[in-house]
Amino acid sequence: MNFLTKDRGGEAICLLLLLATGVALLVGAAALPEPMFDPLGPAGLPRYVGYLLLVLLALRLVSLFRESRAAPAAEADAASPEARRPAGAGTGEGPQRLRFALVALITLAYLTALTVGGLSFTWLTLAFLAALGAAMSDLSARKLIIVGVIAAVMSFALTYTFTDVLSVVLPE
Amino acid sequence: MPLLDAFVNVLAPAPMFFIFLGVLLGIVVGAIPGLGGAMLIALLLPVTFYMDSVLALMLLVSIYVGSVSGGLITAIMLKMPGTPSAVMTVLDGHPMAQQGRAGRALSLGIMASFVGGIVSWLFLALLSPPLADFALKFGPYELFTLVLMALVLIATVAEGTLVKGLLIALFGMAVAMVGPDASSGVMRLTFGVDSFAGGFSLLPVLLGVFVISQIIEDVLKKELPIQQQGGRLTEFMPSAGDVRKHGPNAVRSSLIGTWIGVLPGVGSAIAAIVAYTTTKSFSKHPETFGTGEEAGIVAAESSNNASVNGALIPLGIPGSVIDAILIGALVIHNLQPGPLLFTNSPEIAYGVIAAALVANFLMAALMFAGVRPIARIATISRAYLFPTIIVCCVIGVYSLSNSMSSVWVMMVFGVLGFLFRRGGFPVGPFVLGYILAPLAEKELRSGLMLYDGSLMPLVTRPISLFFILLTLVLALWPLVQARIKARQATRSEGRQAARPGRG
Repeated sequence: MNFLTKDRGGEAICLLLLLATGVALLVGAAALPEPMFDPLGPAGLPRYVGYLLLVLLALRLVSLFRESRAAPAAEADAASPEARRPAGAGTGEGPQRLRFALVALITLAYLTALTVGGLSFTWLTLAFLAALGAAMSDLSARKLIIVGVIAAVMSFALTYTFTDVLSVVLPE
Repeated sequence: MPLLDAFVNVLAPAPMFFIFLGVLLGIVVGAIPGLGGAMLIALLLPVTFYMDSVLALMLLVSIYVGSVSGGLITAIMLKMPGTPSAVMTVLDGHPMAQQGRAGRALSLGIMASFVGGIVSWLFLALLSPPLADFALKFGPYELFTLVLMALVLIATVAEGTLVKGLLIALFGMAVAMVGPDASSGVMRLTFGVDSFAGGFSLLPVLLGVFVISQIIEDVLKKELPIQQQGGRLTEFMPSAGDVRKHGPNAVRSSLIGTWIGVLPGVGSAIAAIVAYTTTKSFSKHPETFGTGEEAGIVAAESSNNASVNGALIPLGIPGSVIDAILIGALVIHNLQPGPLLFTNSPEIAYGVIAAALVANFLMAALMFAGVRPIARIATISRAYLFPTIIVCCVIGVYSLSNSMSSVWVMMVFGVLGFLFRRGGFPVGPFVLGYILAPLAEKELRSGLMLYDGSLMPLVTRPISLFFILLTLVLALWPLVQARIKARQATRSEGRQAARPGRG
């Protein structure tokens, strides 16, 4: 599987995910009852889609294998120290990943708090909007003030619009 | 005259307000790089639960019209296509802006968008009822093969390879199959997980794949300061001479856009590429394309707008991702998408047609009036936008079932969408696969029951045979094209290698 690991990490993960889906479809379809009302039955389409997924995955792997063999020069280039440098290195992607981790953490905390419940939606949303806005900004005073104002206005405006105007029950 | 009645209804204050709102929001969102019509329509779906169905559809269609047009502003002023359909507009629009002709580029783009919208609307209004009648004659196998064609077509034209497009479409179909089987009620592919028992609802999947994944993608990218170039808006209003000079190109490109829009699975970005290439090949000065050629902007903008109305022509199969979401909106409002809409809910079908025309007029008026502020909105920092968008997604999805589990499903699909984008898989075919899987399964099973389990009618019935052959041609054409190109390249290399020997 060497050909999948060079510059193709993202695709490799997707292919594994698709492989798992194909297998899950076939396993799930095998557990379904035989058709009762029509010749296809509930297992028919999942089975066909599962087989088709596996066939196409095999085709993709073959073409990846061919590509990697057909371009040995490119492989050599990829092995050079410059090419081995992580994508985006020197272009500021490192700090972006840190920022992304912070954004993910704040979002997860917000969703977990909403799931657990017990806190006011409006205040929780205000804190979330302010924290996330700050995490995404360059932390200049001007931007932080705007983020704070937006957080305050939007948290109350959204709560009012959805509960009082649209009669939506919000998480509490 | 149902269309006339629809116009009378549309011109009332409430529909006009929602059409105006939709066009305005669409233009703004279309102008903001990273956001787009699909994202906004998906985001607003939960809000439309609480609206009258006709008004809801008018709002969504107006957003569609506005968003396809809004992309041209940032494409010209900032060299950033707000939507994929504006990619071809960048090629000549931005060079014109750099030459100090931003106003001219914008006015031509807006005029072309308007012409595209009007030409294709005529087709929408004239062709929809007879096409709907014709499509009603389709049996289950005809509809099944039409769905297959749509899936193959979008996989063919989507970014990446055909195999990748098909793989992601099949993944979308797999996701749609989780939950109770529509015919027998048997639980499928739940693997004993209670949360899977209801299947994956449209809204969390759509918002996850389109909105959350896009936010993840954008957060991982460094936000660059955006500066307007060529901002002087001189020679802004188009003249009669412009109409004479660019009229034929605008109409030709509009016709191309309309017919590409009609094709299932192909959207406005492809329409713009085909029309641009066609105009370039017709031009006496093809070398000027890409350097600020006015005809390039006219071709790209008239065709991408025309494809919107073309895609609304009701075969019941979505022509683009936004159409797939609009079909989802119809389903959410308990309406039957496709040709039956004209029979069962004519007020919706004709209301949408009337709204599309009004939206085009409003789009042109708003764009001419508000280019400068809209271009400024497009430079808003994501620190101000994204947190509010996430909260709107959470509220929208939560309101679907009053449960946070749907919100978590949305987040999971957001991560999946992001992974697929990073892996070079287009997400458009995923949505089409997800939306079309139930239809494909229903029609296949109906066909099998109707013909005693035989698949032969797939090839003996002329329309389904036509769709199968077309699907095969579409699927195989890229391979044939690649083979031809490779052979031509080998030949030209051979000739070049032979030349020095002769000398």
